[in-house]
Amino acid sequence: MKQDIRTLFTEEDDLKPLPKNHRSEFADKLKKQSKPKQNPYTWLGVAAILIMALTIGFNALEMETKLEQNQVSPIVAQVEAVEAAYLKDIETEWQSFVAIADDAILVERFRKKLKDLDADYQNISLQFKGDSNNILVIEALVENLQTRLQILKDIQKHINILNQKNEHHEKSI
Amino acid sequence: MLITSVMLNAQQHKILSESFTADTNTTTIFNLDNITVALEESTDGKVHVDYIMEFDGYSKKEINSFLDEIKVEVGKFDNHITLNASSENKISLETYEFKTTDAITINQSFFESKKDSVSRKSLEVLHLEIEQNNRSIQGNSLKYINDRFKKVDKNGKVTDFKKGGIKMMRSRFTIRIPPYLKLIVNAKESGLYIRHHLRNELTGTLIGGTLKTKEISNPYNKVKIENATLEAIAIEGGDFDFINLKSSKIGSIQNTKITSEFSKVEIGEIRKNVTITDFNSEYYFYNWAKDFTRFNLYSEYSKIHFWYPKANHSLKVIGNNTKNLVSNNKFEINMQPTSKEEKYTMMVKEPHPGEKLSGQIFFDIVHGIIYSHNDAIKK
Repeated sequence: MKQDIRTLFTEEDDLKPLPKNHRSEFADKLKKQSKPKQNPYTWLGVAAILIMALTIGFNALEMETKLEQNQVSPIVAQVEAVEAAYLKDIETEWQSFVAIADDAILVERFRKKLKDLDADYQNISLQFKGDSNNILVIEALVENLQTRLQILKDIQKHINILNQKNEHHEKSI
Repeated sequence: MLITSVMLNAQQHKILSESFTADTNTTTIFNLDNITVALEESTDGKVHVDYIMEFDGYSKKEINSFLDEIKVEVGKFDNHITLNASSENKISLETYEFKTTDAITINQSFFESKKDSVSRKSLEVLHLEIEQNNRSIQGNSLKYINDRFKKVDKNGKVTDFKKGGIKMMRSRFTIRIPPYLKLIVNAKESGLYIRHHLRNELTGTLIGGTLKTKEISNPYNKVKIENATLEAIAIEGGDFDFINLKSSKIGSIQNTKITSEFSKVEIGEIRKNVTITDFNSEYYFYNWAKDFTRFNLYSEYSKIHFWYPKANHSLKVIGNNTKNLVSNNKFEINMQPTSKEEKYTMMVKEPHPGEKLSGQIFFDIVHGIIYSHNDAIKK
């Protein structure tokens, strides 16, 4: 079966001569092929694609809705993160305050104040659950946390000033 | 589509409009919860209650939902006019809402207390500060929002909120009352904006929210304000309880007793017969009337920013464990550094003999700090 391919195109005897009207015959065949065949079931295909698209779309929408229901809204997530950070700082400041305060009545008043503020916070949190996009409610939440942190920082600064050794310009009356 | 969205903007809804006759024996009771009310003077002797809400950027469904959650009832029985107004959603003069799809970041540093340089404020300056906010939260609502919050996009980029990115409600709840009614207010997380000189006897409690007012004067006033902001052009007469007042301002005060704790209050001018009993608040006494006669302060763990009266006066400070920081804390005077219960005379300043006396200042301070500022020192 081995054959030298270089000989294939040199043996002119094997080549058949083309008919004279081969160009017009070829053009006619092309014209016939370019006419699409009418398929009576085309509309069925279109309908099938439409149904598939609608089904996929509906499922995607349903999945998205389920995802949204399960996901915490970005605003709620942000407020929760801020709350966690504040509560950690408040606890640190509380421990630090208790460590330097030598007045039991003062500590008790602050404990009560922080408890009251926490109760207020819980009330505002309930509002936030029902109205989480309301800027006034978010402000009230942050202000409550900030107030708790600030009163603890302020009283420690106050105690430190009172306890400070009078290093300069001291004058007792 | 465009027409629909334009029509949805700034929708007005009348919630209530009623009028009642009143006489000198009529009592008006306001029970408010999450609602903001403006009080104005009635000139025809009747009580008028008008409530309109305006919505910007809300869908019809959202508006209906909001309106369903506002409950307002007003009626007159036995010469008592009672108004009960509440809302599930917090409503202020202007209330802003983020769009549900927005992610936000909270500018925590904005909420932290600012350490302003402290200097004396004149009565006029304090009046201006109080009056500028008596009709809206802020002249520039976008600035108000962007100072506190920023928008975060899907890629985590932080940007300012733009016009149209926020929904807004405006509350126009106005009650006009004649000056002789007795007024009782029980307000929770509400705003009370008094836009005229209120001479009515005012009693009640405001927990949360805001009280902004022109002069309120009546010797029988008895008001408790808690976790709220107070801004008053003037207070004359009555007893006030302040608990955890935030950045509050009183233009001038006269013939009034205040009991306070955990509050921050600036007072533009102290006039006749004022007494403050305080625990752990911060007070600013900027100016003194030429005839303030007597001022008493009884305090524990308080911070007092004190500017001396310009006119001739006397000062007596008793107590213990108190420091006086002078000239922006450059000098420190340690007054009775004992924390025992016994009280001592810590400072006395006699009036100039032969000069007319404007008044006597009496401080009873335990565990306190008095900041005497640079421009407070009388030469």
